[in-house]
Amino acid sequence: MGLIKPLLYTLRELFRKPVTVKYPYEKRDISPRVRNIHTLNRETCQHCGICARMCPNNVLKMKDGYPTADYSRCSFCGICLDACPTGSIQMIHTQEHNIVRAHSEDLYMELLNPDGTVYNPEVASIGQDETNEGGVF
Amino acid sequence: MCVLRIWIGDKMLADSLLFKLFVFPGTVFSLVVVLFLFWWWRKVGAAIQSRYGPKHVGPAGTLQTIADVVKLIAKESIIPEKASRWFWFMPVFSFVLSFLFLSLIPFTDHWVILDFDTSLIMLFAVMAIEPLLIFLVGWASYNKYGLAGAERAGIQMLAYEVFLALTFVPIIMLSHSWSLVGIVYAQGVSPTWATPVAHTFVNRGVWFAVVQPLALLLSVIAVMMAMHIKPFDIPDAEPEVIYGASTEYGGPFYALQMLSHFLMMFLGSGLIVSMFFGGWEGPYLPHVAWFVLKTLTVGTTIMFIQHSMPRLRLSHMMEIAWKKLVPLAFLNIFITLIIMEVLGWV
Amino acid sequence: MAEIEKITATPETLVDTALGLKKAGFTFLEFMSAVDYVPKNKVEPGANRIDAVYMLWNPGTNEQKMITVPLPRDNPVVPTVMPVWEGANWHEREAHELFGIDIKGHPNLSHLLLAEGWNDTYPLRKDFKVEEVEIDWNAPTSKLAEGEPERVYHFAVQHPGAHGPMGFDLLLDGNRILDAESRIGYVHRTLEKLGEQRNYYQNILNMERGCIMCGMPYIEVWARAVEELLGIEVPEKAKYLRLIAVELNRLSSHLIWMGPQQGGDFSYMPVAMWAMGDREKVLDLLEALTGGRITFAYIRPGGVRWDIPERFREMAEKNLRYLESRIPVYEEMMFKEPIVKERLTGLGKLTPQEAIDIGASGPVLRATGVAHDTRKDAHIPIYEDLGFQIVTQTAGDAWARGMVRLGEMKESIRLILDALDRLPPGNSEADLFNRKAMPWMKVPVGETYAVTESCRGRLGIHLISDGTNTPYRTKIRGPSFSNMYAVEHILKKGSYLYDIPVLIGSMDVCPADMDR
Repeated sequence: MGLIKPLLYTLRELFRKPVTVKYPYEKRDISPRVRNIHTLNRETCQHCGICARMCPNNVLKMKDGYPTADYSRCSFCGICLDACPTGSIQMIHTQEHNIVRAHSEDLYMELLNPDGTVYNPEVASIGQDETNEGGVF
Repeated sequence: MCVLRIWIGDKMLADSLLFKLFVFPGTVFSLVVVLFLFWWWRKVGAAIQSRYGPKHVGPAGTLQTIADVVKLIAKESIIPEKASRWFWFMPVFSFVLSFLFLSLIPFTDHWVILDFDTSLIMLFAVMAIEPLLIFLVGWASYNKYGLAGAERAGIQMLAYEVFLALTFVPIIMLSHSWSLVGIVYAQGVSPTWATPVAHTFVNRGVWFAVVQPLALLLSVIAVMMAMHIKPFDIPDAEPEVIYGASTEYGGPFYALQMLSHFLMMFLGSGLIVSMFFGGWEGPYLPHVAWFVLKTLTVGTTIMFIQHSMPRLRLSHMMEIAWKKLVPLAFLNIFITLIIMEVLGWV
Repeated sequence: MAEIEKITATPETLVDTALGLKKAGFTFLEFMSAVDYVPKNKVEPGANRIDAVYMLWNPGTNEQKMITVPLPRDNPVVPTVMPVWEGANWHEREAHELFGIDIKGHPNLSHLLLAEGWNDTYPLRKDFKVEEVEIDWNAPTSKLAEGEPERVYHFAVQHPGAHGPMGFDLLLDGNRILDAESRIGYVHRTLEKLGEQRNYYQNILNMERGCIMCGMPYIEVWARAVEELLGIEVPEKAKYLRLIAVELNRLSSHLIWMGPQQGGDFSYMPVAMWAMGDREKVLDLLEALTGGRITFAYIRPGGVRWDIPERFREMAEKNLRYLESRIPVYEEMMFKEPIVKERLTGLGKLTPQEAIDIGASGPVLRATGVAHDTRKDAHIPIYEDLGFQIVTQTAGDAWARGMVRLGEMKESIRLILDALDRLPPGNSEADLFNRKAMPWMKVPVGETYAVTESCRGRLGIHLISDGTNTPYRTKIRGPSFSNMYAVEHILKKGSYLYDIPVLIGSMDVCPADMDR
């Protein structure tokens, strides 16, 4: 009968492991393409400002020739990556990150170095979890 | 179990009514049972839905209920301006009513608070007041969602009352007894105590679940309809009326209603165990433990069905109740008569 | 798509032209909207008028035609075309409140998307200034039960059964609905106006937010509209990748529909939770391909942004085969279960004529037996090469709509796996996108209407470009707008309170899609 089959399925499900990932005690791998936070290669950047102009949300603002980012506006689309002619601005896949900006009226902050380290620790700190290698993706 | 052997004067403490009323199976025990049952309900539901349920508060989440109840009691109880002045009375009264229900259920023939030879009729009366209370709850809150839920509770009550009484008729026919303790005795369970009340019964020697499988199925459905358990939880159907009759009740009132809901679920299962599964019979363990274990098993089965089925539509429920279940209950009575003829039971 | 044929009409000849076209087979009104030509515009220099636009579709011959009615700016008035196409009801209300076009003969011209007390300023006009807006917050919101506002049963927004920020105000008699009035517009984010302020590349972000659960078809149709105006071709591999991305999104959207939407209506928790758990597998695939699980920004005008990653094929094979094995489980649990079947059968029955008249599309239309799927009609690349089959049912009720979506899920899985097998080789940039569509491109003057099949129905973008790098007019034809009107149409015929959440769920109405 049609009423019994669903009960058998749910009975079977009682004995299976749940699909929940017990974050933050267990973490799952994320794809290397996930766009979480910007990095800037200050050697190859040619100060053209196209990334700031192409950003749909006015996240990037050029300061002293380099882009600075206001993360309260960013939607992590990656259009700035497509626009950059040299590929200096990239986005890395962090598992978690938190951005602390204290004692400042200006929300625009320096972008990270390509290796993930902070450019100017006195002004801002960006804490991040270790990025994962390999795994599912 | 040394508390059971404390003597006060010339009577044992465990024989006194006050002990039964307040400790076991009264207030303290029922609170413990509700705390356990709520946690267990959430764990069973979560296991079916492929997730974990409460995990962090206490070992495997067992203290989650206490945390939730404390949180709810600490909240402000908001009473709408135009609500009736009986607003606060209803949830309290329904909690009290479930204690009345509790006093009638025999954990064993010793551990029962109210024992007289027509306790089943009293039980029906108590079960019949409850939907009226729900209706009053919905009316008193001056809330159109509450009223809509209350109307549905009234409709559902009309649908199940007749059918509930009819499912219990064969049991009464078989056991020749109107009291729950008598019905348990009639299943071949030997008395554990000399009860002060004389019970008339006819000993059939077999659990009624074996002789009356159809009645068992029907009474499980009837209990689910009476306690508003899915698939019959139409009065508090979230997608349609936000929380039914008790939409407006928040904080401490919500905690009270939740507790009384789970207490009723336990008691409904206890009723089924008394009537079909031989009450407190069982080897080795104390009789009370067997009763509680059997009740929890029946309760778990009801919870399992609850979490695995969708909700019925109101008109569909009425159709099923009046067109299918009431005739089935009559058929069951007829079959019982035939079986009694064949087996020579009088 | 080829040039759209335009037919000009005047307000006096509009209804006759419409009737004539309907008799000729143009029975489907896609949308009714307007375009505001200010004197300084670059599309038609010197024009100073508002054009009312009626986009029509002929399901039989698959042609599109457009009726334009030029109107003066200071007093635009058109007669209603509701006697011809019933679905014009809400479109005309929207054009009235956003453009200021007065519709003569319309039964109910109250505000649909904007607040009730909005003064007479019209947001989509080019000379609109935000400072001039004043809202009267005490304006009466509901016309039902005049004088007795407490009798109105709000089945909207705060109600858990209303599937989000949309719903109805009801007048009830017990459980029977006497009258219903729709309340939508809570998620109106002015995507069409924002579209005019961002350039063609940045609009990927804009258009994707057209629907949360189903963003990929939006950017796909946007990209196709821009490519048509630019006159460029997309590389072969990019076409396959677009198909894979869109079908993955369709799978994820249908799983949400089956789980929390339709399953949640019955509080059928096992199905709801299992569907969300299975959806994670599809989202893992999307995350591997695009980097995002809900918002992707993957398809760009000219092609796609990235190639498939390394072990995508194995991952897709594993996850999609698992999903394929779960579909019979869902079918047993939902569509063959007696309680659910009883609730869904006969609910919200639409005949094919009614559905086309209202403008309902997608699974709603295919459940009535009309075998039309925009993926075939618009000759979207690669679908026909892979042998795409249209899934239809004949009953027209909620159960049939559910079965159509289940069939579409099976078809999507097959399409994705076939496309992955036949993916053309090559991983240079030229295989992914056409270099003529750069992020800062300027599109020559032109007008086009591109359609696609989003998860909910026929999605269209009417794009008018003026030679600069921002569009002049982006009109989005959201499928849920017409599907929700179908719900109102059904409710007005007489229904019950316990049927509403199931009905809204079965039409799969997405509030973001509806309000834009």
